[in-house]
Amino acid sequence: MTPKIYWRLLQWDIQPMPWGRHTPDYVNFSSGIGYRF
Amino acid sequence: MKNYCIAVLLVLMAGFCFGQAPKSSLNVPTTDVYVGYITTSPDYGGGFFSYRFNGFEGAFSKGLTPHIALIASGTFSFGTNYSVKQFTGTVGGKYSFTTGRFRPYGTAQIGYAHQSSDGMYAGDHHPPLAPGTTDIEDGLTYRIGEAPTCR
Repeated sequence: MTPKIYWRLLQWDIQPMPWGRHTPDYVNFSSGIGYRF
Repeated sequence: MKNYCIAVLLVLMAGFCFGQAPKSSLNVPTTDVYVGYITTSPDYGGGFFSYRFNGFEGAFSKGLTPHIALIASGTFSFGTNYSVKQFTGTVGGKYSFTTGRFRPYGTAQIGYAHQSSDGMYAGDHHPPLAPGTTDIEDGLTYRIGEAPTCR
């Protein structure tokens, strides 16, 4: 593999926020640019 | 003289062979940086996507093996209603593999979260508190997720 820029298509994750106080469920979606080297 | 030439030839050939040996795995990319847009949808009782924060995410990961990496992520997002602002910083592990044009991964992270809002959060996370009331929450959080990325 060689160093390259890539596109993170669609990141998905679940996250309570903040844990230990109140715990509603959160869903995060993210998309962006990455560089691997 | 003949033996001398053969010896020199052997040494030269050995040198060429070692010179063509593959380099170590230090040349394999193991470091990954990421910046992107993030949208966060909390479930405040009205179901997901009834409220939404928008913001930015940054992440840094360092491979330990071809499939396993350590990762550190940070996010900042905000909502216009009730002036919600939140920061998170998490660290954990990432597992990825290569298939065709894509490199899917899964990650599990744990860390810190901070939220502030103007009248948004009562004890059950339902608005509103008294107008102008600032609510700040700090605590432990975690993230469990996955994504496909282009190779």
